[in-house]
Amino acid sequence: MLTSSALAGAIYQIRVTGELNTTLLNAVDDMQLRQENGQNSIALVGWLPDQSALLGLLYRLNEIRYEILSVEIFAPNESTLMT
Amino acid sequence: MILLSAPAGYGKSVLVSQWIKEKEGANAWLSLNDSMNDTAVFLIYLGEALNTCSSRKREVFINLHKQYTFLSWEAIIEIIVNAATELEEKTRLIIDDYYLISNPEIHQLVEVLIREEIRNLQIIIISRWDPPFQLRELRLYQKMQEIRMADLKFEKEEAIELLALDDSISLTNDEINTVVKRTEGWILAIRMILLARSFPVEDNKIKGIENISNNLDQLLSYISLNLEPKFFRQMQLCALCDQFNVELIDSICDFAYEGSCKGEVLLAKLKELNLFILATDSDGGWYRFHHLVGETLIRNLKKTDPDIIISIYTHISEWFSDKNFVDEAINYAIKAENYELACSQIIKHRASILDKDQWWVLKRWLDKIPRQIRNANIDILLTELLVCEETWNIEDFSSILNRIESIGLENSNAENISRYLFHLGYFLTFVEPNPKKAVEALEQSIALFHDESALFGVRRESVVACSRQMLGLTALALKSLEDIHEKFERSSKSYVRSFDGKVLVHLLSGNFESANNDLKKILFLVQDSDFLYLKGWSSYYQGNIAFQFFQKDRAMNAFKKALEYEGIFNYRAYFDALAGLTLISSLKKDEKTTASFLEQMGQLAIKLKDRKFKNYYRSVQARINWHTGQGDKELSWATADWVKQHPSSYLFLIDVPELTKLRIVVSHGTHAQIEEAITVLEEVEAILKSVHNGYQLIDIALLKAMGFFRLQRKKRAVKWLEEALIQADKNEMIRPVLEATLVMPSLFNLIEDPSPYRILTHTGLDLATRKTPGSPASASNGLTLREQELVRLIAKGLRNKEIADLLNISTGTVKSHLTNIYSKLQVPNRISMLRKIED
Repeated sequence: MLTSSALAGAIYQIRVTGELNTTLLNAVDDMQLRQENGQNSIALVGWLPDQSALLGLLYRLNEIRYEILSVEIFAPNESTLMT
Repeated sequence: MILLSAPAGYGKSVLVSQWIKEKEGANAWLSLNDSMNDTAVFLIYLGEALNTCSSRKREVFINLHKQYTFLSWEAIIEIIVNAATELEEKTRLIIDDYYLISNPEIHQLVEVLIREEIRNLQIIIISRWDPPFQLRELRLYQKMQEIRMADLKFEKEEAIELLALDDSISLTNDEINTVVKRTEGWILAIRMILLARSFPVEDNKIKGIENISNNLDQLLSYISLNLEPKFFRQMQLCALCDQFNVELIDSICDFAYEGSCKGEVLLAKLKELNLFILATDSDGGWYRFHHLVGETLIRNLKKTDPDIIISIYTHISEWFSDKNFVDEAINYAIKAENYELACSQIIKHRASILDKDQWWVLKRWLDKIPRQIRNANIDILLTELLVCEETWNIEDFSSILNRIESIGLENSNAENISRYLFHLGYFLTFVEPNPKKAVEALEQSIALFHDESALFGVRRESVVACSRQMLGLTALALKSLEDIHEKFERSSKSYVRSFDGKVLVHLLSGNFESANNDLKKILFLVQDSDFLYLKGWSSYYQGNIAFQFFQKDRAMNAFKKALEYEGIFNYRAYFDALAGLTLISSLKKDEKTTASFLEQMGQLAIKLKDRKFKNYYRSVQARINWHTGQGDKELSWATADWVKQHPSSYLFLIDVPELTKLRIVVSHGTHAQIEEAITVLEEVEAILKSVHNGYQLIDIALLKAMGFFRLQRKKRAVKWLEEALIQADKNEMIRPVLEATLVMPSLFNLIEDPSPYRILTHTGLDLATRKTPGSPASASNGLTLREQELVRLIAKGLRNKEIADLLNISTGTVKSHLTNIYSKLQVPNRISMLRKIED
C-alpha cells in the first residue's frame, strides 16, 4: 500500500558515511547537509516530491561511493524538527 | 525540458508518444538500452535520432562518434550545442529510459543541452528515477516541467473510462474500487488485471478480483494460463531480444521451437490482445515488450527453461551478423557470454568496414571486448594494430606488438603471421625507424601470404617501398609500386593507393618535383570519387609540396581543402595542414590571417585529447615569433628538453617541434648553446641521412649556416649556405630560403656573387632581403638580433620604459643594450644612432 509520502512528497533524512566535499554537495541538489557530531557520517535532510526522486538521489550517492546508513521519512508535521 | 519521473508501468512513454502526435514539429526519439551507456555508442544514436527527424542530414551529427576518438569531451559538447542551435525546425528530443545512463559524460552533455535552452530543441526525459541534474535550479528558474507518479496514477474515474473502451470486460463498482485500491493507480497492473479478466469466464482461473495482487509474475502467469502455451513460449523467446521484427521472430522460432506460428501471426496477435508491445521505430517494423513485462517474461523463462537462453542469444547474434548489424551481433554475443563469438564477428566484418575507411567503427567494436579477452586473441590484437596506425597511438602500438610476441605466433595461420609482420614492418618504418629490419619483416610478410586488397596487400607495398627508400633503394621502391599499377583498374582504390605510396617515397627522398607529378595523378584519380581518406591525404600532400615551392595560393587552397576532411585522415597531418596555413600566412606577412590560423590551431590543440598537440601548436607559435624577430621570447621554451631527438617526429612534416627549437636556439641562444645546437643538428642530419630522409635537409643546412654565422665562423657559414642554396635551386625550394632571409637577412651578405643561384636572382629574394627597409641592422654594424630589435623600437619612437615593458626586461637592461649599440655604431646618442641607421 502506497503511503501519502510516496505520492505527495515528504521530508526525508538520509544518513551516509564519509566527509563533506564538493562532489557530495553537487550530487545532493537541494538537500541540507550536516556532518554528525563526532562521527564519520553525514545527515542529508530535505523535501523530495516522491520516491522516484528519492531513488534518483540514492543512486547518485551510490555512484559517488557514499555508503547509505539509513533512510527515514519524517511526517510533514515533524518538519519543524529540521530547522 | 520536461521530466517524466515515475516507476515502470505508469504509462510514461505512451503518454509522451500520444502527446507528440498532436504536436507540430520533428521528434527525435532516443530509446536507450544498456549498450548506450557507452559514450561513443550514445553519440551514434543521438546523431542518428537528430538526423532522421530532420529534413536535412547533417554531417556533423554523423561524425560525432568518430571525433570522440580525438576530441575532448567539452569540445564534443560544444559541437553538439552549436549544431543544435542551427536546427531550423522545432525539434523534440525524447530520451526514453534515461535511468539506464550512469555515464557522467552523457549526464554532462544532457545537462548542458538543457541549460543552454536551445531555441528549437526541447528535451523530454523519461526515467524511472530522477536524473542527477541540479533539478532545484531548473525548478527555480522554471526551466523544467515535471510529470511525476502522482500525476500519472489512475484515479477511479479513469479506470472506469478505460473499462468502457473494452466491452468484453465487465466489473461491478465494488470490483473497480478494489482494483484501483489494490493497484494504487498503477496502470500496468490495472491493465494486466483487466486482461486476465477479459478471457472467457469458464476458463478464467481468477475466480474473484480480491485474490489478485500487484505481483507481476503472478499476474503474468494468470494471463499465461489463458493463452496457448506455444504462443506464450514464443513471447518469452521474443523477450530475449531488446527489439524484434517479423523476420527475427521467425528465425528464432525456427531455430528453437518447432511448430510455432509465423512471426507475422504472432505479432498480429500480440497487437490484437494489446499484450504490452511497443513499436520502437516510426516505420513500424520493430517492436519491444514493455520493459517490466519483458523482464518478467525472461524471469519466467529462466525458471522453466534456463538452458535455452544462451543458445538463443548466440542465435540472435548470428542473425544480426548476417544482416551486417555488427554492433547488435557483438552485444548479443556478449549477452551469451560468448566472447569468442563476439571476436569472430569483429574479424568477419573487419575488412568491409575498413574498406569504407571507417576505422573508428572498428575501434568501437573492439572497445566492447574486455581488455583481458583482447589480450589473448591474436586476431583481435592484429585488428587493434590497424586502429593504432590510423590514430597514431604509438604507446598502444608498441605494447600490442610486444603482447603478440609474448603470446607467440607458432599456432597461427600464415595470414596472421603475415599480418603481424606487416605491422611490425610498419612500426620499424615510421615509428622507430630501422629500415633494414623493416624490409626483412615486410618481405617475409609478402612471401608468407599473398594479398591484393587496397587495405592490406597494396598498403603493405607502400610501406615496403618507404622502408626500401630509407635504405637508399629508391629506384627499386618505385619500380615495385609501378608494377602494382599494372595489376589494377584505374578507378580502383588499390591503383590510387599505389600512387599514394609513390608520393610518400618522393617526399621522404626530398624529391619534390617527382612527388608533385605523381600527386597530380592522384588528384585526377580521386576527383568525383568517394575515397575520402585519399582525398584528405592528397590535399595535404598538395599543400605540403606547394608550401615548399612557396606557391602561396596553391598551398593555401590545398590546405584549406584538406581541412574539410577533419577526422577522416590522420590528425597529425591535419594539424600539420593548419601549421602550413599559419606559416605561409606569416611568410606572406599577413599578420591578421596568421593570427587567425594560429588561434584555430590553439583551439584544436585544446580540443584534442592527445597532449602532444599542445606542443605542436606551441612550436608553430614560436616559429611565427621567430619570423617577426621576437624569437628571443621563445628561448626558454626552445631550450627546455631540446637535445633529445626522435627520428620518427620528422618524416615529411611541415613543422617539427624538435627542429623549431633548434631554429630558435641557433638564432637567439648563447654561443655555448649555438655550439650545442650545431652538434644536435649534425646528429639529426646524420640520423635523417641514414634513413635517406631528404625532406628537411635544406632547412638543416641553412640552420647550420646561421649558427656558424652567429659564431663568426664565416667560412663554414658560407659553405653551408652555398650547400643549401644549391639544393634549393635544384628543387626550386623557395620556402626554406625565404624563411632564412626573413629571420637573418644579414646571413645572405656572405654570398658575394648571387648570380649562380637562380633562387636568389630570379625569385626576387635577393632584392627583398638585402635592402629591406625597416631591417636596419646588417652584418657590418655587428648588432645582435636583440639589439636590432631595440633599434627598431627606438625608431618607432618608444621610450626606454615602454621598450622595457614590451620586451619584459628592466630599464637597466635597455640602457646597457643601448650603451653596447652606441659603442658598436660609434655614436654618442639616440639621435645620432637613428641617423646612422637611416644612412
